[in-house]
Amino acid sequence: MIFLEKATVYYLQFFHFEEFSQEKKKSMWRRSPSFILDERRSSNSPPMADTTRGPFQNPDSISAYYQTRAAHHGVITSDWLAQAQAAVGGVSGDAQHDLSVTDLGNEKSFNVIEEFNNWRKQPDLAEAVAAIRALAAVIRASEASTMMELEIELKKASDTLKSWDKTSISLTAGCDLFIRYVTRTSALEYEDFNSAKSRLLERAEKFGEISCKARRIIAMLSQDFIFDGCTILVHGLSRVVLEILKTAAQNNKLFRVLCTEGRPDGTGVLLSSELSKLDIPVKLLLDSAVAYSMDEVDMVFVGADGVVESGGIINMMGTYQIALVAHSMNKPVYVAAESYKFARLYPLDQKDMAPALRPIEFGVKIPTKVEVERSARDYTPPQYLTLLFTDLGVLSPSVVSDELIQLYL
Amino acid sequence: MASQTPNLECRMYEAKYPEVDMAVMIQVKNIADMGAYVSLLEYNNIEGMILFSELSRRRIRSVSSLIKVGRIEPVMVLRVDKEKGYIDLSKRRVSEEDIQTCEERYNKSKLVHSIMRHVAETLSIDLEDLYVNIGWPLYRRHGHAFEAFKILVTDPDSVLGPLTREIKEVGPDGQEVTKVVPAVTEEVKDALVKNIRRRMTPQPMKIRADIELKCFQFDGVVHIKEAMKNAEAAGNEDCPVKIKLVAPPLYVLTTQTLDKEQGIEILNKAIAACTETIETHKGKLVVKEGARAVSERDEKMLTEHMAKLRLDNEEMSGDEDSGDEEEDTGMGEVDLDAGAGIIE
Repeated sequence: MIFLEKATVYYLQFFHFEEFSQEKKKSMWRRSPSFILDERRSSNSPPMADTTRGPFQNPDSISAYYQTRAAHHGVITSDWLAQAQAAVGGVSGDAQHDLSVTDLGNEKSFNVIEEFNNWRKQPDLAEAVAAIRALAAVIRASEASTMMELEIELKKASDTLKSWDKTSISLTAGCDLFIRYVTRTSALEYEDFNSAKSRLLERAEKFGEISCKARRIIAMLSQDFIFDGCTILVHGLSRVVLEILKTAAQNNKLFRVLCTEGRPDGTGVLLSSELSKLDIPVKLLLDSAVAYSMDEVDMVFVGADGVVESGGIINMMGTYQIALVAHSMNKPVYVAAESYKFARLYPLDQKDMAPALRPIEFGVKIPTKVEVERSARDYTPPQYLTLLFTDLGVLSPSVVSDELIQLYL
Repeated sequence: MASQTPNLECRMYEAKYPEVDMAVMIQVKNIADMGAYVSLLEYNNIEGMILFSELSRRRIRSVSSLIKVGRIEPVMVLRVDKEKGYIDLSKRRVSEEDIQTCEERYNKSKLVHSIMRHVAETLSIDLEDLYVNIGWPLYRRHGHAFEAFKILVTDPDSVLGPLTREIKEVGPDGQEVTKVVPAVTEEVKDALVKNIRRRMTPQPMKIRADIELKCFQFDGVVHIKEAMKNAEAAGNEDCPVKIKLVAPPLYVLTTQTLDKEQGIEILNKAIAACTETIETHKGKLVVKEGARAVSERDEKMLTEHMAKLRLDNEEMSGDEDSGDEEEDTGMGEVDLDAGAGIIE
């Protein structure tokens, strides 16, 4: 049903694209399967200008996705320190700015963002888990005496968190799953509202704990796939993948890791630093050296920003390319993702996603007429993925829809 | 009382919010992530919510099979926050008798509300004023304004007369005086009585009994006719009794009455009179179905039944469909001798 609807929409877009191409043949080189994005470009306005800024939306033109990634780097280097201080300063600035525009009626909404930012400062805590903790705090702080009011407050807080960063898939998925999980309980039958509320809090805390432990569960599940003498290619700085490799090393397994450089964030450099501390043999590759090195690779490990209904993943730019190469050379691609990253999205191509932009530095000055692709993420279709390691178990991409049905039913 | 644009929105009851553990009638407005938002029809469509976990006692396979936008049904009130106006409801906890009570009460309240709103609209007065001065006092005095309206059909003054309200005005000595005046003006009273009589005059209900009547003695048909006349004679002006032949020996006795109990009693008397007469002439009467109130559906079934039996009972002539006699005609004579040969 969902696929048919999406396909219909896609077909209409394509039909419109035909008309569009006839009207503007001079811009043929610019054409894109997504009519919506072409419309934005045709109107000669920057894409980000179309976004309506909410009162708590990050006012920086740089996506909060990038700031979160920067702030969450576990390595304490001078660069990280500078970025962390800049991020903290930025957040404080946002807080000051937000405080001036909010009245007393919005105090709770402001509090949920503050709570979220406090949780986010922990380097090892995922963004979605921070949101889940913040929503649990909303329940704890609520003075509602009816379930209806509590539901309305939760929904407002959730919407506020989602609008803080519209490009974060795990944030949206985490909020949705939290509300669904927390309210699906027989405890709501209690006549006494306080009993029902405390039961909700128990569910909220439990969900938070499950989400925190997800990483460890995934690490345990994936040990069967790492054998002595294997070579693993890793892309991106995923804390779940890092946990997997750490656990394998602790189990005295001998393996080698190839890291992509991960420009422009330099995630590979950071990851290789972490791995060398664990005495794991590690080799750093240029991003363009993946195909060259794929011969000696036994498996590919990547994390995920989001897992979509089709079983595909949305992850750091370059994941799709690596998966294509691995698939053509018959190397398995394993995805490590927590279940709270399962999102109700069904993208059909790269342009179906809202762009998450980031700054890119080439080291030399770029002429103003040159256009730069600044998207931070790409979408990898499910046919290029072998298995998904999640806290729900080891899944093939085709069962993601079933798991989503289980989670949301 | 009159204003430029009179307010025609008002809740049906004096309390602004329902009490906990009370059944109310709702209409589903929209279905959200955690539950369904509904409007409470008896409380001026204020908003409440039914959580999905309160929809059914059994595991829900499909929410849409249990709740649909636009559907009207009774639910139980779980929690009320009267300061902020939040109401938790449950469809799961409402019992069968609560459903009956709630639907009956809502139907009465709906009729009362319709009459009150129409009076307010035609007289251009505030509906809430009408409820404050007339509606809610009637609910208090008579248990339900519907009962008051029923009495009002025949005796308006005994219902509306005791209603009073207080007016403060300045007396001749400059002191403020509290004065008690009738709550209902003549204009309002006339409009109210007229609308109530039109909407609430009770309709007579039909009561029916099925019997078998047989008499195989000499002049049996005459005796059956006599018994039928005696049965009809048992009726009175309020409850006229009629007896009809469905198909021998099945007869049906009917009467119409405003009072159900009286109608059943009269019909039973008619059956007794009929029994007495036919047994005097050594006949027999068997009651197939006792006296009871019948619905529209029963009436329609009886009509169809009688039509079918009438069709079966009609006579048909035996030779009506006989075929035509076929004539046996020949081909005519042909002279084979003339010109038969080929002459070369």
